[in-house]
Amino acid sequence: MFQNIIIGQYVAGNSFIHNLDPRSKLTITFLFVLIVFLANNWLTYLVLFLSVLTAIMISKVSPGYIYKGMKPIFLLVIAMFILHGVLTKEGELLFALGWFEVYLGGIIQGLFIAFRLLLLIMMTTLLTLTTAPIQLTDGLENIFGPLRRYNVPVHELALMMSISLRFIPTLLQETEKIMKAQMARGVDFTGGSITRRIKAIIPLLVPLFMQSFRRAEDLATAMEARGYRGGEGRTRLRELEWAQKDTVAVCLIVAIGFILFFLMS
Amino acid sequence: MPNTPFEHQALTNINLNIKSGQFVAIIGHTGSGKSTIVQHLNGLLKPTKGSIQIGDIVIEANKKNKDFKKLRQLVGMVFQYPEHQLFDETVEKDIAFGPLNFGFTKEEAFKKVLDVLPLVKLGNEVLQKSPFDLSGGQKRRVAIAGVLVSKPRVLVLDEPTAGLDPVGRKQMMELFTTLHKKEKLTTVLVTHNMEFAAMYADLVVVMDRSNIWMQGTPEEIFKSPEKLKEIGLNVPETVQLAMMLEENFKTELPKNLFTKESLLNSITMLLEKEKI
Repeated sequence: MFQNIIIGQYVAGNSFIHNLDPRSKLTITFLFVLIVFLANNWLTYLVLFLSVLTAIMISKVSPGYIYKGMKPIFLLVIAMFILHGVLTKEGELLFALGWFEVYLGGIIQGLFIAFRLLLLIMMTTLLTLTTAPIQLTDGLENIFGPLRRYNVPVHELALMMSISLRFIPTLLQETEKIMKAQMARGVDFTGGSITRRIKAIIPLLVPLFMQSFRRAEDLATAMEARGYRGGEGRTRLRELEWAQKDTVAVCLIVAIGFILFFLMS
Repeated sequence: MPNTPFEHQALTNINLNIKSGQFVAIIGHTGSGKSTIVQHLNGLLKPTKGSIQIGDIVIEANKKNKDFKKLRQLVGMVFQYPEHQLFDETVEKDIAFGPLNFGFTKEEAFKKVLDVLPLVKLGNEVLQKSPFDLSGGQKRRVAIAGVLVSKPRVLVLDEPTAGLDPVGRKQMMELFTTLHKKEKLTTVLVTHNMEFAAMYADLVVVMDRSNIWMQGTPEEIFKSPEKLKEIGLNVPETVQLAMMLEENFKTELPKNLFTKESLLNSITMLLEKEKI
């Protein structure tokens, strides 16, 4: 039922990208986000697009799967394109319908923005697809660790994040189960007028909330029962290990950054 | 989830005939496809190949079917932990939810609620309470009433006794068998519990890894423990005990000792024979 949602979904694998340290992957994604904003002409976008494609190839995650997961976001991309295309009034006038004017500059600007968004989504999707949520939060906690000196509750934030990520699939499963139970009692979630559809959501939301609260309570009890008292002095089952390949990967993205810097106009 | 790395074929090559009025038990390990089978019975899942016929409603692969409401009224479905589906302010409204969806008026629906309460052994005093204020067992009864209230002809039960204590389990099963007989329902019970399958079912279907491993009457299924052990299942405890007795006393016992009472009778007869 929810086959198109792959946010937070992790596909286990054994590729170069899967085996990178989460810290290096996070750094790379962060740098990539910065680099994407450097791009401002066709050549630079081409370079970025090719590097993302190469990364997807190396990760061995099927491109079809990534495409499928990005489908729901295409609407946003298209909306961005149209918005920029219509509102940017630069360059040659292509055509005009009364007050409605479309400029060549607008079309190009729209394409660039849409492309930028697409690249960002592809890269972050790749990050979550190749990194287990627990690794991701370990990495984040480690990177932001120094902030603890300034009283930032790094461990608690990381824990909150890992718990939310962990429960996304559970929540989806639960939603599917309750939807089915209510459908068996004659609810039609997909047909009827808008008001009817909104009304049909109530029998889904109420049980879902009840369950979530109960689960949160259970989780808190279970954590306390196992002696959880925050991040102080906690050791890890899996220590993060920065290897040579991580340095190589980070160097690569920095190199791409330099290339972009020279190619941008 | 076709075309994803998580694609998995849940059922292959299933041929199953259920006669109306039958009590069918579907047993098998977790992940053997039990729940998947029963969700096809009211169109919650659609087959990717083949077809399903319930009464005169046919569901075929790759075809849009507009009869789902009719089908879902005909086939009532009690999910695992049905109390999780409760949502409305009062018990009365929650039970009436199904009939209202199936197009009955408010008066008709509330009248149906009154009719269904005694079936699940609940008193009228719960009607105006919030379902969330009830005890666990009561909640489950309310949820089951919410399914029964639409007067289904086929009742599908997916592990209805999960999470209940032994007494509750027995009461729940008795409730369903009485209903089965009184309302002349066709009942499909998904369960892990061999004893229940043996005691109540006319037809037992054993599932293993997406396939039907064997099907037949309880006597047929439980006479061959070897075949069940092959897939890690066992015969009911009463049958196990009867088999041990047969071996020890070099005697023959009836093959349908599925309740403690019938087993007790057989043992008494055995002992009396020994005395003489």
